[in-house]
Amino acid sequence: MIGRGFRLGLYGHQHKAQVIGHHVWLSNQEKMAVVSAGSLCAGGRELPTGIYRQYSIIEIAADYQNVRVHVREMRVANLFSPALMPDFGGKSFVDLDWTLPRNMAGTIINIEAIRKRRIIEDAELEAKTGDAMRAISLLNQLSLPGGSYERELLLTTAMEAQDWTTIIKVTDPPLTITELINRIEALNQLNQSAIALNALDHFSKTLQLPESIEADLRRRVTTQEIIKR
Amino acid sequence: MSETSEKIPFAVEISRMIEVLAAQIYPTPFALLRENVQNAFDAILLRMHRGQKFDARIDVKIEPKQVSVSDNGIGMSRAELRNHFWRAGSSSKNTDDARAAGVVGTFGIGAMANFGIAETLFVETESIETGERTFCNAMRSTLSVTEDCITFEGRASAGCSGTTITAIMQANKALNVAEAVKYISEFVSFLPIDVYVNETKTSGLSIENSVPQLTTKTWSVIGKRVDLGDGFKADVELYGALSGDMRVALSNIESGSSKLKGNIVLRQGIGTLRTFRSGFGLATVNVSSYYQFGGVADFLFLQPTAGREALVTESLQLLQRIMTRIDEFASENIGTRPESNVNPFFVRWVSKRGRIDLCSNLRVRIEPAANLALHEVRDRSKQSPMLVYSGNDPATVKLASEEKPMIMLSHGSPRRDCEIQYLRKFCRIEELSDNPKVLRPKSDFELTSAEKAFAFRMASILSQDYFLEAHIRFGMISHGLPVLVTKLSPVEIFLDPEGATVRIILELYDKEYLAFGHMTKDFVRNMIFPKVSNLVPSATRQGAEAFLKSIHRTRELFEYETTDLESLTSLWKDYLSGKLSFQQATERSDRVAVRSYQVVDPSSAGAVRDVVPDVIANEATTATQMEANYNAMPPIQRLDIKTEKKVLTIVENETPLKGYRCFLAITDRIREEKGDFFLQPHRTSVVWGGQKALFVFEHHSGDFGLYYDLQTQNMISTQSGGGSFETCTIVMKNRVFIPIPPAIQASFLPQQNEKKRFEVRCDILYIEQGNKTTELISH
Repeated sequence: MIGRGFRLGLYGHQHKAQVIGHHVWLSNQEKMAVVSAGSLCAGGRELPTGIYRQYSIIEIAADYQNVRVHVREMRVANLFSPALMPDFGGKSFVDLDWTLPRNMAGTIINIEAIRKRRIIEDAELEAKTGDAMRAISLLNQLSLPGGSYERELLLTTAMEAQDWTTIIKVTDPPLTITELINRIEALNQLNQSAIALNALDHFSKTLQLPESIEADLRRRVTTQEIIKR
Repeated sequence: MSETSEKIPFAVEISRMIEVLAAQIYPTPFALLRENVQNAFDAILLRMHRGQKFDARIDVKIEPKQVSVSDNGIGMSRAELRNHFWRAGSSSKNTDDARAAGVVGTFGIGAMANFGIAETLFVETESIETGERTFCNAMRSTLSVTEDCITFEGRASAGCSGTTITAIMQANKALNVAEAVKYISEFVSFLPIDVYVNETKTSGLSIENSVPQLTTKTWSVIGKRVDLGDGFKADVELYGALSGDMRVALSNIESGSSKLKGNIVLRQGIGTLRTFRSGFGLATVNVSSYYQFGGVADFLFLQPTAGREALVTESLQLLQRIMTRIDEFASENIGTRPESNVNPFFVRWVSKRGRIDLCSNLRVRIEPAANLALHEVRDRSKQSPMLVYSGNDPATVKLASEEKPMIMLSHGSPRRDCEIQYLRKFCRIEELSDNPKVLRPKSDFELTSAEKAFAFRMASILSQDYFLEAHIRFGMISHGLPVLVTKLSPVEIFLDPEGATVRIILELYDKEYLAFGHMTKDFVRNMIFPKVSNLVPSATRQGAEAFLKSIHRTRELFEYETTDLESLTSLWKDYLSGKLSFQQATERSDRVAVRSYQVVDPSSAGAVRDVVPDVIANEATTATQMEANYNAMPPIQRLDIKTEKKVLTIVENETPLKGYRCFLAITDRIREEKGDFFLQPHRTSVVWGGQKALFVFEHHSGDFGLYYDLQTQNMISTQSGGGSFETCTIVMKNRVFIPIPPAIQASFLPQQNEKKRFEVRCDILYIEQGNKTTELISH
């Protein structure tokens, strides 16, 4: 499993919370964590001596390089509380780490980058094959830096799907003239004229919006307001 | 001395001897004309030198069988006839007095020239000194050094000095009169005395006028005792024309303390120089000049060789020194003139002599449409530096504007060198290199959706397939290039959105999205990979080692120790060095390599166009070179497509893929164990013989390879063959197809109702440095 890039293994059957840092020497030393949980509702006879009913919470770090295994046990009455684990030095949790798997070029795999790339590729496929809302929902998970493809994809898809709320959210603040125009359009569509005019007041100058376009946008907002009344 | 011994004189057949000598020294039968006229002219010069006033005249009569030359010069006494004229090698003109008179001949062999073609020579002469009039004659056939053979006859004085020499031709020889007249005219045309040839006056032309004048003179430099450098001074007349042409005349030349009597008149581009002495024609010579100055030079210092066909070395050297000074003088003066711009000889001279300071009147082309003299560029560049561009890339030229004009250097050498050196030395400039560059990079905010998508997808493919992190940008690239790698660490790649292939892919994103991904993959493989192939980890030893570790990790069984693998390598080395036969080597390799079988039948064969539909079309769009590329190349990847086919074909009326029409899937077992190998860039070599085909795929790093040995039931070929082939592996989700060279494809294509069974052996082949597979195979 280590050879195939697994880094966290979970097992059961023992009715006992345990952790092992497993080392394997293949071509180079690699390490994975092996964790077993206790038994949440086993009968008294099934539990090993001195072991309470237990459950574990595994907290995986954002960088996928370690976990903290918290063990909770039913020491008193029917209440679960942090376990006192002799194996963990009397604490209720233990930190486990491992070596990150490497790619075929020998460099550590940037899991976050891969995850982000996959989300974008999936969203692109969804957007291009008709499921705009799914694409929007995927892209909404990501941070959307200015000028990035994910931001562009989200805004284009949202415009096509007329998802004005998403546009208003993403373009706050608008970073380009196009984003400002789209924002005004979205606010207009949602009858938020005051905010639209406010956005024009704030960003027309900084984004160097041509005066003729600004005037046109203002006209549209005002017209929309009149229609609304 | 013994009685039998004796001495005899060395005997010479004089008549024959003279004929032979005359023919050797004088390459033309007309030489007697020239020699006799030259002697006549010398006699007149000597008489003039005595201060006598008289109407000097030479008469030449040319008939086919007879030539006579008469002069009213100094004449000869009987003693002079005896001691000089009839004595070959003795000249009466080897005296300071004679030299001061400007005589031309000094060799004393003039009489001999006549006997080249003459049989009889009559001389009638009256000496100004003694008043003796003598008539003598000699016949070639009776000439002797021991016998009296020349008759002398005294005659009554006629009261006028002079000499007439008449030559009667040998019986079998005759002169072409017209040619003879033409010949002698060239020697005498500039003589300042009257010369009549067959009663037509042929002399008196002006040397000065013999060199054509410039038609439109636009400038001139005229001066007395002008210092020409290298110790030379002269009176100079230099004229220039609008066309850049120059004509120069020098007289009263002084070289140090000595005066060189005579003059020289030259015009650019003539090349040859006719030489004269006292107006009498000598030889035409080549004196080197950057301007190809040629014309006439008439100097007393000019010494002809005995045959008169050339000048002696000393004379030529002095002429060359004068010419070098003239070149420099002309250059320094034309350099101050706008006409220098159109004189290519001037440009060559300044370039060769490094006188870039003289180039200020050369004009350079300025974009947009204009031109300026370099001195104007110098003045203008004081305000702000000017752009200078040496290439001809239209996209770069478009950067020029009225506000920021661009100097376009000439393409021809040496003008271009002169321009750039002047600009560097005297002007403030910014040089634009002619290396490919990005002219107008687009910022991330300026990109279209399609461009952002393409950049994102390319970066993703480079990272995922090639383990190369790269920043992909867009911008206009010079030289019409579609792709340019601008930074190596981190890698930055620019794409020109106007590049044909890039444009197609951008359109695919907008209009035919499902084709976009594959096309981008093929674009990266064909157009990007070759440009970054040395940057991707698989090109390095570390990358190779990491990959080997990775491939070992995925092996479920570790049957083979390294020693076994090494023995496999050495086994094939033994085969290549001739220690083992092909058969022996393959048999022994059975024991160390993985063995598996595969069977293909007609149902397992499919068409490339059906299985991987866009591969052929994409190849045509993205392939960058026409010639075969035997370098390591990545595979064609279609990891999103599955197929159950085991053989892929391209039919005859379709375009083959890199020349291949047949692709065979490797066995599932080998694909599972080593399939990752084929995702890395690799070279492909194939050898075959008998029932075996051996494929060796050498890893990009060159450190190891994959050995794939196929044994067929039937003969593949009766003759061994093979070598390096283009890599064209196709990697799919569940298949890896390797290309089968056309020469052996028939053995892999199952016929109707036929099952082809192959026995396969495969393993990693370690390659020692300097012993690469391609080299091994090429043995």
